[in-house]
Amino acid sequence: MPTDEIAGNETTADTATAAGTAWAGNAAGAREGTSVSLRNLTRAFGATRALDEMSLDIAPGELVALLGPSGCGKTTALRIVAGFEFADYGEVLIDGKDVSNVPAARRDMGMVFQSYSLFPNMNALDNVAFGLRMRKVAGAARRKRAAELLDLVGLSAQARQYPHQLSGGQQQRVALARALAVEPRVLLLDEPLSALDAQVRLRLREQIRTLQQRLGTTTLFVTHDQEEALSMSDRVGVMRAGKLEQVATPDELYTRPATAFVAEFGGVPGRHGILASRN
Amino acid sequence: MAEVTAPAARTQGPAPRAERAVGRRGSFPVWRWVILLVAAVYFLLPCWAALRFAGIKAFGSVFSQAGFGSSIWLSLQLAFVTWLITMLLMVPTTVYVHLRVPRLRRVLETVTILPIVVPPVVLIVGVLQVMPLALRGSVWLLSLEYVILAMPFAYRAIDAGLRSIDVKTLTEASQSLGAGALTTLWRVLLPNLRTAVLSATILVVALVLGEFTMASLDLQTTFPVWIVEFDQLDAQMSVAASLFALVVTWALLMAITLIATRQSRRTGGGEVTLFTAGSRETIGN
Repeated sequence: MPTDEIAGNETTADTATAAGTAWAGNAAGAREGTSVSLRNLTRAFGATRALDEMSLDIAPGELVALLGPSGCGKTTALRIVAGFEFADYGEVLIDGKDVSNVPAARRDMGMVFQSYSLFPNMNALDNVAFGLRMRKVAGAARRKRAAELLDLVGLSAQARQYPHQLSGGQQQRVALARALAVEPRVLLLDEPLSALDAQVRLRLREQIRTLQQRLGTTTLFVTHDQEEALSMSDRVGVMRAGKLEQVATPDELYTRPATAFVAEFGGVPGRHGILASRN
Repeated sequence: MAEVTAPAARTQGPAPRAERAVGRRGSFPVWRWVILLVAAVYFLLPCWAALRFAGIKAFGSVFSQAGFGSSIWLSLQLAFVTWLITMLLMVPTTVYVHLRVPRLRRVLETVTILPIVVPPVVLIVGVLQVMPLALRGSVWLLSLEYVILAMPFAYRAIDAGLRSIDVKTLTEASQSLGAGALTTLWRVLLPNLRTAVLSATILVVALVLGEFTMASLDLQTTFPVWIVEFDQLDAQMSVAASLFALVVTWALLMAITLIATRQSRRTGGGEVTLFTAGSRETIGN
């Protein structure tokens, strides 16, 4: 299966470039880029503090990765931004506005999940079109737009296929197209690559980054894989026990780690693979 | 296309073992047929005996008997109303418990099994004692009773369906795309629970069409009650009516199963049978 996936992706990359340029052209005018601020987010589950006064500012168009071992609170932070969980105190600001009381359905965020999340009863095209349908985009425009997005992730040929007919990598690409179709203000990626095998993961990682940069969507990316975080992000936040240890560019993180934990976890890829793969 | 052939190439490794497995499986059908035959004899022999006893002629005149049409119509109406209430009640409840209060699943499981433990006689007599007069005379009281009777089956079928899909992720995905709770239930969850809902439907319908105790004690002439009453007048005709009821129920269930199978084949779901609610799987990598 992996060999097919890669072969598929090579042709994919070219088509994606062509379609992406055209599509990004339309989108650029519509969106100026959105800033995201997490302020003193605190969340406790029983006696353990999943998040402890966590603060983070993400600039418009930036991709920030939250990196840390299992249970460090990174997923909780992402889910609070998405509106699936709530902080005990602290706030999430989108373009300076507190969205703490806005339900997930109205936050205008695209999300790609760790587990396969495509709707099994809809084909790839209908999956991508779902968000547009919720926004009452008319039938023809909706289908055209969904087709464009599928083209963007190089899956035009699979438009009529159902999720169970797609490989894991293809499913996550459709999920990405679905999340981007609504032109979300913020893109949230919850370990979208961790269910895929290594080679597919590598390709998709590049594809996500290229698309994100082209569309300029502010993105929060949660991962436990330091290589993934360092290679994809503008900045990386290394988390430990609900706190951010350091937020810095990949270069800085690697050459000037602020704490021993950052040096161990984020600095030397491979050495702490056991810790990372525990998630 | 290439991806379809890839797994085949991969299985070349442990080929001898696979062959053996096929060989072993090859001898299976004989046993399957034997079991099927034994079961078929067990079921069909009484039917054949009933047919012989009633005689073909009785079938012709059974339709024109007084009360035949009205009792079967009443049973069908009751089946429909019971099904409707059961679905409206059980689907949202089960989904809610799965999503929000998974701790209560055990409790719900226990509660829903109670109707099996409590004998129907106790249930209907007790209810008739405390019901307000307006409901006591109503046919639809029976439907409400049947909802309780059907609860264990409906709950288990829907619960199995919910376990086979990732309810949490699907719901969150739907929400993040802008869908509210009702839209999520209707457009995302229900279509993927179709197999489970149809299994529940089959069980509820079969239950209502065959229930005698409650209907009889509630003094409603449903089809099973009519058959028993009629038995005192004309035994042959009554047996013919019973056989007819069997055929009607069987045809109804077959129709539901066929519709379900055709629908789920389109979206790649599992085969629908009576007891495999929600056998749907998604292929991973």
